[in-house]
Amino acid sequence: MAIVNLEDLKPGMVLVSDAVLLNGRTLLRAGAELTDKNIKMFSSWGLTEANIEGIEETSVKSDAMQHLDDELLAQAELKVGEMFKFTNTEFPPITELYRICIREHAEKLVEASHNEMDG
Amino acid sequence: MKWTAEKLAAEVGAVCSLPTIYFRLNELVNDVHVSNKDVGALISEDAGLSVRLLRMVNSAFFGLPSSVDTITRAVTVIGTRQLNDLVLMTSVVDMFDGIPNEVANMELFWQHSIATGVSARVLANYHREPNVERFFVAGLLHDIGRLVIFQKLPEETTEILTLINEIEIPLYVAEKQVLGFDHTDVGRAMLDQWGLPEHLVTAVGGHHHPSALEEIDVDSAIVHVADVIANVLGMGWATEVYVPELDEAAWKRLDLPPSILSPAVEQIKRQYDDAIELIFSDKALNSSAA
Repeated sequence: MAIVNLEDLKPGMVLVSDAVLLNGRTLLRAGAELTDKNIKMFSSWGLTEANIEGIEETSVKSDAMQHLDDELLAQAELKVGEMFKFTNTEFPPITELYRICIREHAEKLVEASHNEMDG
Repeated sequence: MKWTAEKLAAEVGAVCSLPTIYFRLNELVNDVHVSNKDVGALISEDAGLSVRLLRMVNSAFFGLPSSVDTITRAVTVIGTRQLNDLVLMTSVVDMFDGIPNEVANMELFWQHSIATGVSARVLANYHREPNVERFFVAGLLHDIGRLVIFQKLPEETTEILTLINEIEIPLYVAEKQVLGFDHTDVGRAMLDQWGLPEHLVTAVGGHHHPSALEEIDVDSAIVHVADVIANVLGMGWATEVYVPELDEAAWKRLDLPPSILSPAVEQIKRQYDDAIELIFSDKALNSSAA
């Protein structure tokens, strides 16, 4: 099981624990199999994560970045690794910011390469 | 002459002060017997300020469903405390505007301040704070001590910048080595000198190492995390190439799951563009009026 971010949730995934909002309100009980409708509802209520059965942490982490080219990703990782060298990347919010930062950089690189092709 | 954070603040405070309307408004807002109408009446006395506030309230940054065309209505829709914080924001815009570009790259300084303000506003929303504008203003002001140091101590500033290039240390550590105090000390002294509310003074003074505070308050914790996020997103000038260390106690104080960061960043990016437009058009309006 692993905590999966909203953007990586997919229909068919099974909740290990209740999906609860920051204000304590429960949206869906543990054991439920997610549907498209559930995920849309999570998004409109501002739920940001869910605890999902049978998933390894690492496999989900990279999911949102799968459409990105490996070489670009490696370039972004090099730059971002340098930026984060004074932080504790084991600390969960930093791990998450590190991931976001790589995504942002890789997306910028993709944009730049498109612009180059256009120009 | 040996400088201290307080001496610097006193010197700047002597030539640069907040408009009296902010303090009169502050008094009204904290008085339970005062109605929205009284607050509206006071703001309406200042025509220039009224125009600026209405423009702000109607900007994309606030995203209100219908347009607000009178100050009385703005007070009702936005709330007196929030409006008071916006008045403070216009004063800060005016003050920063007086600093020549040679002293520091003001555009980049603005961008980092705005990015931190917006990040603080978004985090405050996740933390279910009733008045998010107060966090926006705290973020906007968090590095004001740096401006004071840049402006008053140019030689020492060069020394500090050389030091961080030679040995890789965070800027505030270099400031402490050269001056004996850092920009958070100056920021705290500056806001104190201006008589700003305690929560702002603490947040600006504690934003680099909130766990050094006896008890971490929400304002310091939010501004600290917001500053880190603004650095991660590379918005504007931060002087630091590196992402500053995230204070674990500050993050824990907010009691938020790390998974809010991804949607928060999307909101920050959107609000950042709106805030930049709002503030830069407000600056332009203000300079053309002056």
